[in-house]
Amino acid sequence: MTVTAPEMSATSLPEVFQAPADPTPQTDHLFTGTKHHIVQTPPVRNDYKKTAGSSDGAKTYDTTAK
Amino acid sequence: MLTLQINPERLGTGPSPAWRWNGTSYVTSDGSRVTPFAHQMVEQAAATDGTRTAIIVRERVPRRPGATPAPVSVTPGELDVIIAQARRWPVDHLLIETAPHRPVRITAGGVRSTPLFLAHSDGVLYGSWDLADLKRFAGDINPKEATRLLIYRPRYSTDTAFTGIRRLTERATAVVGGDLVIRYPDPVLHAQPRDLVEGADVLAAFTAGIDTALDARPIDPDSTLCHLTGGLDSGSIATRAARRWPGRINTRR
Repeated sequence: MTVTAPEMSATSLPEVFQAPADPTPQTDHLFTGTKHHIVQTPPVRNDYKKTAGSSDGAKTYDTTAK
Repeated sequence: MLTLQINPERLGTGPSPAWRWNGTSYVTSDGSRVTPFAHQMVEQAAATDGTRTAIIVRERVPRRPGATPAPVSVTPGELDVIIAQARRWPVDHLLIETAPHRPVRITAGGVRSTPLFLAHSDGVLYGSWDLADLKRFAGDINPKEATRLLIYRPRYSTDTAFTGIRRLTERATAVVGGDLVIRYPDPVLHAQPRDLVEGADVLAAFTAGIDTALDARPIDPDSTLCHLTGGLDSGSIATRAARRWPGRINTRR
């Protein structure tokens, strides 16, 4: 019988080709309610610098932020 | 992480069409080359089913012996699984897929700590982590990117300051053969803010998150150098690292 890709287990491959388990820790236990995922709007997505008071040691302030 | 020069139209046309490892690079007899950056935190592996080849260059993870670079022969089904596993690698990686008479596909991982710049000329793909390596492909100044830089609003995109040179951003895929097309992935999803449960130990969770990031790579505090911007984020991580490895983390300004 031919073994197709979805049926084949990664564990049958040499270890070098096996991805480690995802190490991301779970945080859902910290919160109430249901988690809702969204896609950020451009203003939120790009609001990454303050005009002043940034903790960024390079002082890379956004000189155009309102 | 690597430099490369691949001619998709000539792949498989040489006297020995398979990719081989020559000690520093993956090469074909028809002139294509992929050269990983030689560094103890970087490793490479490759597999082929006799037609398709997958070349993987990636950051190392802890508790794994270094990968053997020579291409491994596998079945087509095994190669599909290897490609799927390569895309799940938890730290920085690049996956290069080739097949004779087909476009080359390069996929970047989601945790990019290295850049890859790409240029396409006369049917040949050139790539490097160093933008200066591709200076001969720089055309005009890209007006949109130049404007972004001048008004201090840079955007992480496939654009660079020069037409003719592109950037492969996180999770993006470059398809090259006749033309260079870079496809963005789906947008990253963000969880909307929620209320905390009573007594939620946020600090412990934050610490666990930093520890996870620190443990994602085989860091040896005695021989690892981290370049930090010095803000609140990187300062918190440096402070945590200093607590985890007392007396072994030195800071220099």
